[in-house]
Amino acid sequence: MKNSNTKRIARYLVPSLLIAVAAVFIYVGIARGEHDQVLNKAIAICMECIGIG
Amino acid sequence: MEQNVKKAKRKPGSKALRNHVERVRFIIQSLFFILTNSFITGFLKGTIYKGNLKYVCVPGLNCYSCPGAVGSCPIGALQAIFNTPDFGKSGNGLYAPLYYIPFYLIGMLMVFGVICGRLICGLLCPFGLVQDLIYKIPLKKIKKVPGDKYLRYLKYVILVVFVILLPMLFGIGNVPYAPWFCKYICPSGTLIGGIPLMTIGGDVSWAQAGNLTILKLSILFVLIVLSIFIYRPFCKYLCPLGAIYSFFNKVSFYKFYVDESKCSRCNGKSSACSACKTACRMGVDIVKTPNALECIRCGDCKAACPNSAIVSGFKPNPNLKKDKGAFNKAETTNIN
Repeated sequence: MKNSNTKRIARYLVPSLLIAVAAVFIYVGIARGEHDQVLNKAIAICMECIGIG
Repeated sequence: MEQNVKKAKRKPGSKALRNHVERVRFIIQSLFFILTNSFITGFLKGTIYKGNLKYVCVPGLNCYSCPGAVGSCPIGALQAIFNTPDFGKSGNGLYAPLYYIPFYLIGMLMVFGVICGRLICGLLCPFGLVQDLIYKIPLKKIKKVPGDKYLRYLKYVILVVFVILLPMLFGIGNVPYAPWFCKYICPSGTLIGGIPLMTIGGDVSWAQAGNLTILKLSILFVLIVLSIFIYRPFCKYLCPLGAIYSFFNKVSFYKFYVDESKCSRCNGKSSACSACKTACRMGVDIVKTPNALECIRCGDCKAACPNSAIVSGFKPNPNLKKDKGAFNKAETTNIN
């Protein structure tokens, strides 16, 4: 029973930890202003991306 | 009454059930496509959305220069950060040594990947939907592509070379920085961005088309033709986003499980049963590897199993608690 519970916790532990790491990454990214960089790129038509040239 | 009859026809493993699963998947794919490409003005005026929603990436490969796109493309955004060598150097010295690492995007991709894995490929990717539709054209299909095993690694090479290294390194001398994957490979940008925008004729037009347009239209044409005969060739061999999400299949909350007590291959009742393996168009043997890197979680195997031995979900099915370990112990230890 104990073993079963341990495995069940482990099943959720890894993804939960990864989500926590992801949250930290997103926070650091926003602190660096990366989100602005993403927006700046996305609001202009990327000629190369759509194959103009 | 009629619904009950329909349900009765959808027995496990039946064609009716497989068709039903495919229909439901098509509806979800279409709704998500409409949701993430809902900027109607873009289609009317030949322009793109410029609002704050584009701070956030969509999970699938959806060009942000599509006239309807309301979110950013994760692969395009990754390259945008790699294309900015001075980014992070100026302003905040604390992060200077890490200036090349796009934390924001890696974080976002991790969230998508950890929750869904490649379920995103199966349900939420617009170019996946396009390939699924093309594959419905009733012509003879190629089940076994020569060199398939090795070609599958190509998407990882493309991820490293075209999405990371080339956008990061080039810019030396007269070679300008460029989103190499988007510019030289991505068919999604051409199909849902370039063709509609140039045809509507707002911000850009066919008069601006050149050699790059010919190259990208050729790539798109080849992939469309291949998609008639091969199931999702872009996802299998070329997509760097699928390559990223594939790493999360084994650790994502959403998983596939095989109930050994029901699986006739696992419990030795019928060693010849390969209904799930035959149904899988991505070439995965779900019984051996329920969370294989190549599995896009389309659910074809689940529908094809005559014993309902394959289950999936965000939490393990309580009925599987008593399993003593299925075919692949590494996977089933998670559910015991």
